[in-house]
Amino acid sequence: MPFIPNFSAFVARLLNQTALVVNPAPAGPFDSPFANLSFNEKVVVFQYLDAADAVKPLAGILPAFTAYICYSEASVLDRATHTITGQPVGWSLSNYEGANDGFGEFLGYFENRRRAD
Amino acid sequence: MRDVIVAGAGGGGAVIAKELAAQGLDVLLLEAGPRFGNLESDWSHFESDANGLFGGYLRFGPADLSRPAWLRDLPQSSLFLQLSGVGGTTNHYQGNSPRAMPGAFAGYQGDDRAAYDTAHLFPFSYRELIPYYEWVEHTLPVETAPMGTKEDVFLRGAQLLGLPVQRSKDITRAACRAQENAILQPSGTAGKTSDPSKLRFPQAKGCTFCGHCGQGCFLPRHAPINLKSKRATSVSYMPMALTADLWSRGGRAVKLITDAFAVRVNMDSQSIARSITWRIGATGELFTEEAAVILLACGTAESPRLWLNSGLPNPNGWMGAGLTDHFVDLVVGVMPFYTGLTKGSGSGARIDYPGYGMIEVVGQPPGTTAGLSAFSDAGIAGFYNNGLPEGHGADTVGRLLGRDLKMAMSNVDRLLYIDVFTDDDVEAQNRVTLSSNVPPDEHGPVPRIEIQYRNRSARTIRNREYLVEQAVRLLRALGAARVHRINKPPFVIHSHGTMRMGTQPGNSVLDANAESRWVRRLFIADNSALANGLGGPNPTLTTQALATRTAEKIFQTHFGGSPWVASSNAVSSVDHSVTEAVIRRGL
Repeated sequence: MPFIPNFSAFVARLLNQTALVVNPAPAGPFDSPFANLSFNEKVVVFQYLDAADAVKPLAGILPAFTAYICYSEASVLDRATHTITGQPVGWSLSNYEGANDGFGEFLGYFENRRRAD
Repeated sequence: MRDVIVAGAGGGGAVIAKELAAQGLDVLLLEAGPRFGNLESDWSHFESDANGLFGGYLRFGPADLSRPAWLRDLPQSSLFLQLSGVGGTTNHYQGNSPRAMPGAFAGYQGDDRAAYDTAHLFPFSYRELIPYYEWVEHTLPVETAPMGTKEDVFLRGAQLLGLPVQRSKDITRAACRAQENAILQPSGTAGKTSDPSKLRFPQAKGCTFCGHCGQGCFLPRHAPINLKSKRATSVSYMPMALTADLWSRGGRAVKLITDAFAVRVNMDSQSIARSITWRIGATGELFTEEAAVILLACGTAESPRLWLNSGLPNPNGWMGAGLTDHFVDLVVGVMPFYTGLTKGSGSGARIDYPGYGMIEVVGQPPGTTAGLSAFSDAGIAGFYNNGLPEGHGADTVGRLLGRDLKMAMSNVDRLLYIDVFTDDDVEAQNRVTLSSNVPPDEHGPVPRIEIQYRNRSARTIRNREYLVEQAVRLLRALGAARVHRINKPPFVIHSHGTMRMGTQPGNSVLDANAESRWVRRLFIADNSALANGLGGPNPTLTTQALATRTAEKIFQTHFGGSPWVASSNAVSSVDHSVTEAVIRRGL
């Protein structure tokens, strides 16, 4: 990717402009045309982006970063104190027990061998 | 004049610094990133706190977290996951410490010798490296991984496929085993409870099965730094390096300077490396110091970058070229039973396939789990595949998004993740150069990391597809409800060979002693020096063994000393003498 100032604005513009190619008038409550697309229409947006060499690297990482943020504790992280301020939605969605210093998961050693030969 | 200057305190740099310091040399160790001196107060188990890529404390960036990370030019869909700071990328690694495949080395006579990248072998025998493996395995130490549920499930699957068990450290055949990990085995309450109040040192020792290897290990709480569970070099080799005068007779403590980014290697008119210049991040000041020997251990992107930015010679064009990354892939199983994906060590079980590579079970918290599932070169599962339809019997290929992702993630501890690591060929087209797209930063032109992942060799592709097929078979044998082949673009968590040693001067940068062919007294001690992708296994242990060997070569050749690995006993980083030294020095 070439270096681009105001990167988040660039990403938003790219998604919204490509959204209008897929659906020139997507109905919905959001200001962003991309946000108002159906899931299937959003897939088409990424199909376009995957096929465009100049933005393919961005298309590759955007869904991964989005999924990561959704299922992590990012929305409730207090970075200054290294704590969280509430139950992350992603943890509830994934039935994750939560971050902890340890778990009672120790099942011994494979073939009862603690050392390789 | 200093004896040795080492640039980079990561997986290799900390090793060679400690080895030379233990022999009494005057060693200066420069590290571009932070010191990480207060793990329990500065680190946490939270993914977005640790691994924010740009804002997390584990990143490739300055010590001052308020300042942005350093950029690289990645001209393809890819992720390049290197860290700065003492310990380097070992701070978020999973501690997997297998030895390399013997077939990756010169002189290998096995029946499968034609199955490896025979044009790019190591310039010495596997047998020659064994003593150095043993030395590092004792020092870290490396221990057989205990079983958690995901390991138990994975190995049950391996045995359903009829795979034998590898019981030796040397890889001799296609076989399964518990990992050999640089993670202390559990004792006391470790692994037996989720009550944090019962998981403090010394009541708990070793791995507490927290599931946060990737966020940096600071457990058990209250343990001295050299007794933390996961043996990143920040807790193993670095404490030894900083106290070498206390535990090693005749040893001399390393001088460490952090927030110190090496920006230039200075060579004289006789092509001898004479000094190194570094920049202090907080002030912008530049310093230059001379040394008898200079070592680069900045990583596979930064060591070649430093070389190129220094204007050092590159007569055969192989500086930065020949990057291998194991062409990583991921196969996801949605299982009808509990797997404990998010608990235990990052990976405690593996299957090696000599001539092809290896697969291993991995676990991580939910954000990383979801992110990994959505990082693909093969389109969006169920919709389009970007011309990559092959799933070897998987239910889908491509990014898991929407309903597929929600269904898979609805119970994260019922997923089984299998990472695929390919024995990939050394190809000059996959390389590090200097970028003309991303502007230079305060250290000069930035690295451009180019991987022609749609144009890999036939052998590389064949190997990867074979391993994916094995992963799918394993999940099916276990009764997976759904199997998803992700098909990743370059997900560079292992990278090697950008300043490779080799048998041929025409396609290598280093000789068999890891000294550069064109600039004398300049050595490499990170993954860049590796001749190839080792046949697929995780590279850190091999880099560390090679760095130990390189330390001996330097000591003999340039300081008139005698080698020590064959004639003495390694001191473990968890030895009482090291713990006493660490406490005495206030580390």
